[in-house]
Amino acid sequence: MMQEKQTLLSVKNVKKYFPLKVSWLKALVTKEKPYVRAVDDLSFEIKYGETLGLVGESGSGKTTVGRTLIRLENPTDGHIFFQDVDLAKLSGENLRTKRRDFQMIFQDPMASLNPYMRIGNAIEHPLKIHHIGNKKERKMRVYEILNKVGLTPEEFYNRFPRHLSGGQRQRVVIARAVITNPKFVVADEVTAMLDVSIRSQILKLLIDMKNELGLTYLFITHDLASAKYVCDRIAVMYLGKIVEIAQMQDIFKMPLHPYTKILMASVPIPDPKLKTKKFIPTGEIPSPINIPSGCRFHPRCPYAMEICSKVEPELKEVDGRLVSCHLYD
Amino acid sequence: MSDILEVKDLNVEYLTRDGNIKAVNGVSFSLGLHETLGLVGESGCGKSTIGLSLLKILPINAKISGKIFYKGKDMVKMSDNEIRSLRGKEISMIFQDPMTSLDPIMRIKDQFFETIRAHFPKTEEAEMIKTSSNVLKSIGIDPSRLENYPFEFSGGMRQRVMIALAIILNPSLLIADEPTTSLDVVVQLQIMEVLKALKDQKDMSMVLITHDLGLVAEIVDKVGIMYAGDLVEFGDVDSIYEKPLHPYTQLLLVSIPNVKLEDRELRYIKGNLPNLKSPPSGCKFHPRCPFATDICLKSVPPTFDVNGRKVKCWLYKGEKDDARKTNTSVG
Repeated sequence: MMQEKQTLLSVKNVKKYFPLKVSWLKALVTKEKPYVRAVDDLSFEIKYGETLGLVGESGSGKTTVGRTLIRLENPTDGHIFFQDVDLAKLSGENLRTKRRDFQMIFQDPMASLNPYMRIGNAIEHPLKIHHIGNKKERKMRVYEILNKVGLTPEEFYNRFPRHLSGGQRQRVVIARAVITNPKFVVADEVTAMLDVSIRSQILKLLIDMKNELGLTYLFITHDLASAKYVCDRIAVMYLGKIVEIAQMQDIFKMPLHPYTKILMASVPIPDPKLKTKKFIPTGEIPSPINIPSGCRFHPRCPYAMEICSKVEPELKEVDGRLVSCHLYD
Repeated sequence: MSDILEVKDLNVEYLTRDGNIKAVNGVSFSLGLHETLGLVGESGCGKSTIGLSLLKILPINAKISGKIFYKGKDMVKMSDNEIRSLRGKEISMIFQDPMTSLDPIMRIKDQFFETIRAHFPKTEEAEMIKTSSNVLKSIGIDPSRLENYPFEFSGGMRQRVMIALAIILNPSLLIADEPTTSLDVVVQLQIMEVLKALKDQKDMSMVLITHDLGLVAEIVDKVGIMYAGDLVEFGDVDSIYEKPLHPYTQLLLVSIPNVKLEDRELRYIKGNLPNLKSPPSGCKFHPRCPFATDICLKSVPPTFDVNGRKVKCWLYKGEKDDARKTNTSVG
């Protein structure tokens, strides 16, 4: 734990728009260019050693946020300050050398490992890219990290990804992500593809790695239940915007935004006695091309008022957390 | 017989070039009329294979033995023609991914017509439109969308169409294989509500196959827990969730992340799922089981009957006076 929590990453008004393909004829006629507004004006901070959960349905833009933060996507607009360096402005060699400080763990461990690369080589690869150590040192480091993620180095170093189970593969991916001693790791739905009995193992490993290596996480998930175990703060995203951001305990004790309430109610609870009437949301997440006017959530919101379809609510402080909803005006 | 479905000592083996895989291993259970069964297990436990066996749509390299009585008739012995007359009409299935299960280049309407005409070839178009519209309406889709193609629907809507297709001929048994796995949490809840409503409105028994113990808790009457091809525990939903007997069920229940705030301790089952080509000796769960003893390593546990529940675990040998080695069904 840090005594004085300093900001590691500060995101300011980041936008990521993906242009849509339009026929040249249409482009001549209409001036307005259609965009998928995947991330629309996002601002938040992550402190040293903190885990921020980014929660939302698919299509809410959470993965795009993760990718943009570590510059796998170029932001359309905005600033990403990482220890006072604006990542949004970096390019070329400057960006490349900075990359060892931030890593990403993806959802599908099979797709993120080269099937023709032995486990040892795959984990060693980032060290090679960043010219860290000589051959012997690198191998030592791989052995060390394999031990840390709970895979016996002698057994796994020379194996191929296809010999491993899903959980073991995800361990390899985690090992590869932390081998350069990064400061910041984006974990994108790391447990979504894993079996139930393996999921908690991997969550535990992520927590252990964080404590041991002093990592800071952006934990992207659609599963509020697993976010509870890992996150210090949780940001809820809907259609490219953050609708609520608060301490984990606050969100679970009393979600404020109607969308957060819906997400909470959607988590299945393993208890047959709880046959309560649930808060069933209507409809599905709309397309980010035609974003509803006013509050983006109003067509699905059970509490929608007249103002909601007209004025877009701003992220405002309510009881020490940030919520964007007209209910709390 | 009041049971609509009775599975007795079902074995399914996949023959592959590098060894045979025993996907389902001596599974027996029964399901009463209007009852809903949840088959729960992780990947590779054989739950989907059981689902496919119930429709006899197993892949060509599968070898099936045992008995599956549907309304008293053994499906394993039935001819292809007999089975075909059951499929879609008496027993139907909802699959995991609605995009790959619907024909992408056929209007929804035609997919409904095809299903109806497969069993009632002489049905008038007007009548088919009427039936299809009613089914769609009952499931929350506007009948005007019959003219649409699958790609014009969202994921949740597509799954609703799948459900509508499955129930259009009023089957007595509906098998749903991970019907919400490819959907978002919020939509998942909506689909579960649709299934729950179906269960209440129709005279239908349901087999719900899933990996999510939490998801089925509210809707099923009976639960079967599967591990590596074995049905390790079978019984009433309330009693299983209240007092799980098999160590795997116990561990599975505590290792699910839950939203209750107070509990932030992560519990998990050590180890990995076994490889079915070379499963562990004795009880297949023994390498991961905290209670494993010598006998678990050496011999396969039989199914014990403990207070009306079936448990495949040595811990319950001689547990109660009425505990006995059984092959009979609970029902």
